[in-house]
Amino acid sequence: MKLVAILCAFALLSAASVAVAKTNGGPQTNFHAPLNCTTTPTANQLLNYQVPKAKKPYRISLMEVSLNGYYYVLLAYGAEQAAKQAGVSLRITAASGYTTPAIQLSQAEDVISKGTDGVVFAPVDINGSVPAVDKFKAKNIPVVQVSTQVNSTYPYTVMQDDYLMGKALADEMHKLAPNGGEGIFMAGPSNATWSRKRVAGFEDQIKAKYSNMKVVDAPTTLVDPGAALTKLTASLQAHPKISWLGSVDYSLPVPQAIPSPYNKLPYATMGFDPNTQKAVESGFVKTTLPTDAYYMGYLGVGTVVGLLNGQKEPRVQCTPYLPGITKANARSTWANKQLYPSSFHAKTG
Amino acid sequence: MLPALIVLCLVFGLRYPSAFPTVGNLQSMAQVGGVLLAVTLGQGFALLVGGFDLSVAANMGFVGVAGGDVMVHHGLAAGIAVGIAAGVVIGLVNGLLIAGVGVSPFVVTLGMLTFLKAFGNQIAHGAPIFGFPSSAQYLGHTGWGPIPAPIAIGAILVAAMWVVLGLLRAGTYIYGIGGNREACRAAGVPVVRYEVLAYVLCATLASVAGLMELSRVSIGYVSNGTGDDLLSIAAAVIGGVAIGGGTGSIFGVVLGVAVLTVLTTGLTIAGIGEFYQDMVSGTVIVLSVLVSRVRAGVLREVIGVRGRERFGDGLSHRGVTTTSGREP
Amino acid sequence: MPDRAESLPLRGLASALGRGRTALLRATNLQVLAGLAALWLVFSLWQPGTFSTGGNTLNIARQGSVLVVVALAQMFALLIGGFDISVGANMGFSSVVASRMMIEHGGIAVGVVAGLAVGALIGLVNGLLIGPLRVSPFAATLGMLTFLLGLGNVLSNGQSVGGLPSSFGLVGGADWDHIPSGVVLALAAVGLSWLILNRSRLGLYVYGIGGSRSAARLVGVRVYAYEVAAYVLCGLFASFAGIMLAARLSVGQTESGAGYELLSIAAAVIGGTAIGGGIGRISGVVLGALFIQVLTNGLDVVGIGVYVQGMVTGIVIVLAGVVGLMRNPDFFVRLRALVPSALTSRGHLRGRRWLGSTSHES
Repeated sequence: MKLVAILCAFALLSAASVAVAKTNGGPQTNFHAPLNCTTTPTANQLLNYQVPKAKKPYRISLMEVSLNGYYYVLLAYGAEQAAKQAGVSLRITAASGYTTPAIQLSQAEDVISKGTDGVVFAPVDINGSVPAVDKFKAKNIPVVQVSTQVNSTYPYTVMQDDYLMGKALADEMHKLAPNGGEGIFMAGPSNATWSRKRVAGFEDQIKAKYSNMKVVDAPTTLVDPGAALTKLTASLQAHPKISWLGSVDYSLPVPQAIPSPYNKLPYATMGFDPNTQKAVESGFVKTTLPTDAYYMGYLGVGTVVGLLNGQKEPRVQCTPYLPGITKANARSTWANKQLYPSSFHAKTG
Repeated sequence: MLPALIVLCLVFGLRYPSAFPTVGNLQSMAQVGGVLLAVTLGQGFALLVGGFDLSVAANMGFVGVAGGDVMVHHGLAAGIAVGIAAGVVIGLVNGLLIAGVGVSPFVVTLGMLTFLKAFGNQIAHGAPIFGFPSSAQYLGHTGWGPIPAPIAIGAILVAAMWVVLGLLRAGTYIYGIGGNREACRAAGVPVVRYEVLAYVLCATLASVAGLMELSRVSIGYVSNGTGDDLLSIAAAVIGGVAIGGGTGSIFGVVLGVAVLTVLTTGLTIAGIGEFYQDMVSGTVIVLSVLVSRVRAGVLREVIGVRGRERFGDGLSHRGVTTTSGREP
Repeated sequence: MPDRAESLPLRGLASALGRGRTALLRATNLQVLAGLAALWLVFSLWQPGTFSTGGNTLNIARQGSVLVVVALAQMFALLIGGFDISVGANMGFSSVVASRMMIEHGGIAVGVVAGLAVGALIGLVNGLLIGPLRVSPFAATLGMLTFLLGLGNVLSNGQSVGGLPSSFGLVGGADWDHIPSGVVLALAAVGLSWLILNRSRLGLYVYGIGGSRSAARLVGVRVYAYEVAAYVLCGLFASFAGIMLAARLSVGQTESGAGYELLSIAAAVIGGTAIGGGIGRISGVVLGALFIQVLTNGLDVVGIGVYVQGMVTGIVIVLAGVVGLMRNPDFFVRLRALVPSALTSRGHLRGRRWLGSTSHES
């Protein structure tokens, strides 16, 4: 009887907690805003950017959220190129799959144990990665955050602006489908900041400028080509009469996998890899906006080396909007800067 | 579960008459469901002998990378052969450790999962495998005529597994081992051999599913198949395959896969977000087992006897505890 | 409640099946301890300047304290003869509820109590499904895992719940005067579970039921009630671990416990807890958790690539299972008994030579 009473009390208490938690909104982040950039180098300035020579052979660490994906490996490649030119050593850390705040914090502690002079850091969560940054802050180790933001004023920032990229993609989409009409925009994970910002930018721009276009569905999906394809095919059943197709990432879904006849529709996406290069050339993708992972790694290491050398570096560097990659420029210098040689393997440890 | 499937179809069909009950949607569900069907058929064998296999999704991803790589460089047949061979080896290792050495299926297949994911990444270096020969699309991307390739292959696999379970001696033994391992042993059944066979079938079918998935998504990634480990167990359980072994049928597996596919497709068409879909799936998994328990009279007994249990051991209903043969 | 006379045979039963195997389990602890020492030695010799430093030892303690508490949670479910794959989702979910209650409804105490309460409720639902309703532990906790991931993300809008009071860090994140608070809390959890398992009737029955359900029933134990209680404890300890993790990360997040469900089972199994129930010691579980943490940290610190780390971890998990069986004197007898059947089998069982050689070595 006592046991039953205790159990009932627990049940009531927790039901009450969940109910109370449910009544309010929970955390709210504004996804509808661009970054506050100190500088936004032009495409040519980036091409001419020189990594500073290190005054001492610093030990730099690159902490990535994953190495399972072209984007992450390309970022590592950019970082490695910069490290070579600066004359510093680079150690890469990543999780075996996709990291979590807990794993990332432990790895940050391990990076400090191993010894490091500066860190290029891709946060896994805007709040959950704060303690990891604080660990470096406590040791006075400079941190440059790349890829996405963390809620701390300590790190320097080298980043693409996901919100503005979303807007730029809407412009590209409108160029491809000037007559407008309904379309499906494939989003990434419902809890991923980068995806939510891109979706917000895309939808804001359409509302503001292209009244003849309408997003009828924006299904969310894990970063998994199979799951994305499944979501897309289901969504196509609900909205069979669409006239354009967009996505926040080139693998959501893989362009060649889009079922016929929808693979004839104008499809615009973001990011680049060798398979997408082929897809652009064969017309499955009309336009893709490069995400510039190479320069995030490259500038990231360059900035850390500059800071260690005692130079003044800009607080927030935004990578520029690169022109969209289309059939015409699928093998241009810019496009090729979005690829790494197939012999390159990012080594962790 | 058949009534549940009919109700689901009716609900979605009446609510979304222009989107759900269409030939196009049937084809698209068959495309998605075919891959899950192959994995779940395999998972069914592991479940029938009283275990389960958590490594099927990692297996699919591994085959997507290893088999895919061979397919790109040496052609379709070589890729398929390597993929299937990988499945046989994975199944042999799982089966020998579980049936032969007596390690719990949880530990063995968890270890295998961890190993395969890492090994796949080590091979692919995080990059996608692409550029398959165009004939590869007949594994899962396009149709065999009007029939989507995954469901066509799925149907062949269903027929083959029906023969194994229904007509061959192996089927009788596999059911028997799951029902009562000790009795089988006493009756002279080579228990280890047939238990290993069940795990080999499970892993091989998962590898076939991996080949279908790489064709369906047109790319080989270690993440291919993500979630299908738990999804396949859920589908089998929804279809009435008992965790703990001995009970279940091919028809049930097909039904379970159909329910899950209709449910997820319907919810996506209805525009339900993935968080709410998770909540629904979780509830459905538990509910479907509860329904089977109600049928088995468990609830009546529990309520009727007011908490006092009969002396008979409920072991045949419960997962790990039934593997009494390997308890120390 | 059975009266004293009834519980006496159970006591005998429990000690014969469970805690009675003290000698065997002590040997287990020694083995794990030896393994730990060996790991430590290898990593120290490999990278003396980085691995075996005070700072890194503290890191291992900080990282490992959460795992110890989840592994203890898992131990309750394992001892009673099941397991709980929803502990990781429970951690994340309770951390979200605790964080939101903390921020919006009155401070740390309210948050912690709410987090523990939902954890216990999760355990209660699992227990009711698995006990009286006889859903298999796998199906019940798989359903729970999927459900909690969904509800947790709904409650948090798919984001991390940040902005927690800074003093919350003292519940598992910050140090208490050079001692990591997580370690102290983990020790408290160890103490509490020791009291429950070794000094209460509940503990006795948990071992007894895990050892043999039918025998426990025969002596009048209300098996279902104690099964529910074991899962409630599992849920409670898991949510405690979730709150410690939230304090360490300074956020509540639905996915923050991802991976702990499998790590906790691995830790318990390495520490000698049997899947199937009735056997296991707290000291073993703590050592098992430490073993995993030292392995993870060591591989990372000495600079092994992350994929090789994954492959090594997979192999270690399986090896731990095999070694766990070898501790049982019946193991080699059983293995040997397998050989003739394998040898007489015609055809496809390629493992027979391998089985034969294992038996030969023994």
